[in-house]
Amino acid sequence: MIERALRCDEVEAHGLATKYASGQLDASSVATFEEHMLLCANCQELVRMAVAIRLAESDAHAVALPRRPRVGMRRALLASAAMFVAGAGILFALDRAHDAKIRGLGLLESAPAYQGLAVRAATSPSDSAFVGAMNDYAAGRYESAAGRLARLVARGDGGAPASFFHGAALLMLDQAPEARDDFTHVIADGPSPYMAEAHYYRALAAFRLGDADAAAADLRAIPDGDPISERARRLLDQAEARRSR
Amino acid sequence: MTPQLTTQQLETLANGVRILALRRLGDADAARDVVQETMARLLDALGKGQLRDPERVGAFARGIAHHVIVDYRRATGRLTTLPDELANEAAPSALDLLVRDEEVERMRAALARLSSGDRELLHLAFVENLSPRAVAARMREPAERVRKRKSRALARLREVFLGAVGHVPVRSATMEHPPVRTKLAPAEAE
Repeated sequence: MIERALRCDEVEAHGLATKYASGQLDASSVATFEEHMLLCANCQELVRMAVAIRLAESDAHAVALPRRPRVGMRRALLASAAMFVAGAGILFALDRAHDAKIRGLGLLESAPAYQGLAVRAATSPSDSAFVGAMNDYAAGRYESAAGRLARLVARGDGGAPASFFHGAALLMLDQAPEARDDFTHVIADGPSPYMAEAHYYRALAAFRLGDADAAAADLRAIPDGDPISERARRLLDQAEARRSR
Repeated sequence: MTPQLTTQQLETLANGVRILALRRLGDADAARDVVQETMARLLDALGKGQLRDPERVGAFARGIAHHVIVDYRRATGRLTTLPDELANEAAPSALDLLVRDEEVERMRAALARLSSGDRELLHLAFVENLSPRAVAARMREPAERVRKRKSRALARLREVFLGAVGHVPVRSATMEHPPVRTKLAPAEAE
């Protein structure tokens, strides 16, 4: 969330014009971005460029270009075949466009907060390896954190906290398949303070993998009243809206 | 103090309102109506000194545009959400109307001239909508290097994209530092 006036370099650094163009900013950030964009020709052009790049890179636009009509029986047959292929291409491209919208729901802007062992109240490793890994995690060094947590998990030392934050670090690195495995381990290990969040972040991983059904199932598994249930409900609504378009 | 806007600032504001309206409504004609009504109401309000904080002209204009869009949807029977929710509502692919087919073709040609690495970078950022940090992680490069590469690639694309359509260069003297929440320049002489 952005709550103050923006500068152009911040818009570029955070990819805000792209997110605005693709409908991926939260309401507060939309307001802040629009207040800046209304007076900034540079950022208006960034929005236009973001749209143009997406369309230019989109297969849907390429196959939708008008084609020259063909005449004659043989050519008509060839044209029919071409239309079939083009139709299949359009369907494929539409599938891909729809797929991209679903995958976009899995984007993770900020990592799940590490609130410390006392707050989480979980049985967890107290050795320095976990502390060192979480220092990396808290500092945004996700690759290093993932490596250190992976060693803990491999030794069976970490329990739910190590698996959960290993998955979270991998999600930040956009390694959704591996992240999903970690959250699955957390859920399979039974009740822990990480259970609801593991469902939530496994849903994000599933979205990144284009598996909207699995994502929806995870979001629905989060009990009402859990601190993350409201976010889960909003994400579920967004998913339903994108799937129905 | 009542802020006065230069001709160029008014043009920029009108372009911005068009983007905002297109995003909400997904209709080029409706967006054009919203721009005209918003600019008329804005100039009227500024003339009456209704903007108390000159540094908040962007928020002020956005608020007017929002009301105009709500009015438009009420008038056309298309107000199906609460006005507050409408502020963040984006019509599907609505902003596609911002660019013309020939501009997309020119962009595709410009993209084809980029290196495969730069093109992959832009694909991750603009099509897969990955955050800059996630793009850097995917490309296994330091974030700062990826940022510079993206900036250079965008600059090349910008030359091609804007160069042939007669746009005024966006970083002209008056817009080098956009006047966001700062005192606005006096109006140009008629």
